[in-house]
Amino acid sequence: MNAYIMTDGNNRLEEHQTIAVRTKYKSDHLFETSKSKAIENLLSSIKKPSLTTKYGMVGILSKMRETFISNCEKSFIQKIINAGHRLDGRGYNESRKLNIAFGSEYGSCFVSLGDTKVLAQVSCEVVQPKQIRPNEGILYINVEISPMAAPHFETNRQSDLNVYLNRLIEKCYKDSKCIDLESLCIVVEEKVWSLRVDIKILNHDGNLIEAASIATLTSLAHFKRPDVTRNGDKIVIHTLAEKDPIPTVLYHYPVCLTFAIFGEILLTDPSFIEESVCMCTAEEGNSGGGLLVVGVNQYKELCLLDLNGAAIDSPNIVHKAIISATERGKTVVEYIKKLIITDDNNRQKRVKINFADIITNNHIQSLARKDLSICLKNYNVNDVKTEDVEEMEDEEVVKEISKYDVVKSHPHTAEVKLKTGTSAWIEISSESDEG
Amino acid sequence: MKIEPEKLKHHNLKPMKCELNYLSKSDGSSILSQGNTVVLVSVNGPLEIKSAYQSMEKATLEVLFSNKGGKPSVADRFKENVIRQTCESAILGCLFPRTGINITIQELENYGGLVACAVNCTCLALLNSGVAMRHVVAAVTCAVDDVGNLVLDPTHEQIQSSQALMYFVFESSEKNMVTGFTEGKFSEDTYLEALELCRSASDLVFKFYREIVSKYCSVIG
Amino acid sequence: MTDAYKIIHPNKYFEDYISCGERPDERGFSDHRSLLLSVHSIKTAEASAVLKCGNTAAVCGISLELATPKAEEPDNGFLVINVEMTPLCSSKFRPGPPSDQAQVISTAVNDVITNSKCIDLKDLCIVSDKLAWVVYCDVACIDNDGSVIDACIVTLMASLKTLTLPTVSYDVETEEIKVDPTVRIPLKMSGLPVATSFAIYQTPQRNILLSDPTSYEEDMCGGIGTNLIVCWNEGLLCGVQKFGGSNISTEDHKELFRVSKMRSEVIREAIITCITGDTEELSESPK
Repeated sequence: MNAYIMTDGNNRLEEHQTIAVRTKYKSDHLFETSKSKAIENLLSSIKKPSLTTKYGMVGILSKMRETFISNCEKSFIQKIINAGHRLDGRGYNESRKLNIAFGSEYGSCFVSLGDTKVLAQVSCEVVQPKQIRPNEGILYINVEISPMAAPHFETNRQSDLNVYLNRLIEKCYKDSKCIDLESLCIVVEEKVWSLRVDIKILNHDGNLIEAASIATLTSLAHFKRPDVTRNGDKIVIHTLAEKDPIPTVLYHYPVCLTFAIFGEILLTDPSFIEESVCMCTAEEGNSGGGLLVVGVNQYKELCLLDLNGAAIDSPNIVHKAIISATERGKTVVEYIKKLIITDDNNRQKRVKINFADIITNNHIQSLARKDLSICLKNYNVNDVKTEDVEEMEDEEVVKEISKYDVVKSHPHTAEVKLKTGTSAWIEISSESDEG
Repeated sequence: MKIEPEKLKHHNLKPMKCELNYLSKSDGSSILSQGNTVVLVSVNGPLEIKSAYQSMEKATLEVLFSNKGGKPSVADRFKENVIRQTCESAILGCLFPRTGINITIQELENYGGLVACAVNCTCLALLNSGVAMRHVVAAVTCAVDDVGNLVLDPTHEQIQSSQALMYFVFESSEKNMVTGFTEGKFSEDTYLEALELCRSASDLVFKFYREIVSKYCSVIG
Repeated sequence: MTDAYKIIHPNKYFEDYISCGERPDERGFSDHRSLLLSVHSIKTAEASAVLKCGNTAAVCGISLELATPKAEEPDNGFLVINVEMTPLCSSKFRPGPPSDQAQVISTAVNDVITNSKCIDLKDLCIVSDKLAWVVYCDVACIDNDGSVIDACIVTLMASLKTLTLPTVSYDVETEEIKVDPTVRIPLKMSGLPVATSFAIYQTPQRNILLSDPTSYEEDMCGGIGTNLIVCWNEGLLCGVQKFGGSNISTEDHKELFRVSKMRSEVIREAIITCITGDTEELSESPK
């Protein structure tokens, strides 16, 4: 296990500093103990300046806040969060609706997490391998944020956020070795497959990292490369019609999940305004706010940990985040796997799959309907039912029952929906009562 | 939002589906599918731009075409140029001097007629954003098959087997040609015939715009 | 006096000319400028041509190279056309990587060659999957006074027409390549595509079509990007393009085709005379 840490003179994790943990735990049982140990070690080592700081990564989200947030907005958001509410009526531990649609080609998918929308496409070509790794294929990840995502991003210029996002996704998928690169080799030292993942951010409504990582994972798992046969010196690349394409081998499925930290409160899947307010408070010297990115795979193993903006004193909050992340990570990965299987079956039945399916027929304005549904949610009496929720602060971690249902809505899309009966309102009030 | 089959009396365009305001952060956005080709466009503006690009007389158009995967190419610059020049004639840019209007186009699926779909989608996004316009524009594709017959709005397979391909963009007021470009070889008569065919087919596109906008208006009250 | 008028009221100055049925350089609306073409002017290149059309000047040089064909297309050679808009030709172009405008011009020239199919890439292949010619065509614009694309295509065609390929023998066993520069075969070409640019000036009554516009006329009509370019090859159209700017009707189209067809024949003749004639220069002044 490697852990790198960077501290300032006061031995505290400061703004723009990142902890990265690259671990590979063997079993779940070991995991629980070693994980908390790792975190404790990390935090205690902060106190000791002796720890070698060998870290060189850009992790600046300073360009994040481009639209000016007024004091009014800021204090309102903080006030309602302290009172146990969120702007869109969600609970602290509740994510926005995740929607994944596949395109007509292998390895193309469209992910929407609430209003955050991301497009991913995997393409492949035969190239010469790198000299130092002659028997391994190449994985190249490219994240692009165009002015489509939000007006303040400039054309043809990489913003800091872009670099940060690119690096984080690379760390999560390249450095965690989730892809079997050796299987991409065709002829040692001569020809290997190079996979290129292009991630395009279409709409930036917060939590780009989670949306981008789900898109990357889905497109990689969905992708199939053409089959190749060797004929003496020559290699023949078969078209999809000639031979069935080969899927990519994934050892494990990591996803990145984001948490916004407001003092002692953790918000799952922060929206744009929550992210902004949270980073604002960090910039103003209030050390309570920050963004924590946790990368986990379906075996509940930790692949990535990245902290931005906050100075955390208690290991409790990181612990809390990891527990919540492993739970959600597993749900998300299962959901993705299920979708890919359904999609594969559909393709074998020669069902036409196309991005045209994401255009809905029954309404004209996408956003109008969403606003309406938020309004209705707030006034629906049936939603309010009492239900006990596990306390997050508990030392003993009891497995939370997944609150999400996977629902098949359209022929090639499926949705993760809140189970009926679970109300966001109740959760909030119960938690705020204790606080 | 499909055009009913009985309305397509003389011409057949591939079915069109559209959604406006698809993106929450942009001033105007639209997603349009024409057959299997799908394009997403966002429009931002008028907004502040670098002084080097500012024009004293009219708004500067910045067009970015983003392909689905792979590196940006010279062909993308060509598409950007087509859309920029076409929109420049449609937008009343003189109302917003020294500002910029930013158009970003994202290709989602390409099964032929990508440029035509991108132009139409851009026009819908511009309508959605509320930028003042002189007229709206409609793009129609036409192919010449191997025996010399004209194929309106060809499918992917038809394009592959065609000997020439023509793209036309018409404006709504006089139905004159704003933009046109061709691929392949053809005779003068074929060209003029295709021009007339596409001109009459552009009515279907304008009708589609009208349908979308009238429904949109009823939503916003 | 007229110079001052032109600077102070560029639009009015231009309008005054047009309303009198004349262009600032005394041409009629559908007249084109006289041109001067010379081939074999660059001795270091395999083939070359220089063109001066009015004040617009362009030069094209061709160099050859041997390469292995692409795995996807083992029977095809390579034709690489690059158009360079040097800062020398106009103040609109700056040094450094090619601007968007330059890339658009480059694409337009490339499209004409691909669409007209005047060169079969299979002719450039020597041994399938092993050896093929790479023909590098570098076109540079020296002076930009309008209708650059026309000028580039003429120089390119003239140089390609004069290009001869050395014979190459390839030993499959030893993979040995022998080039014999003394025995040369001319490159096969089907037809000579010629492009004609038009600037469209919108007046309240009708649209005025100015053939072979100067850069001043282009600016008055909405910039070089809005030119209408018609390209003919062997009596067939191989490219009609126009991006934005003023609108045109079907009648205008017919007129455009008539004028451009005539011009394409004149220029074709000029290129052929230039190559076959012993005189290396030929001045062509239409009407």
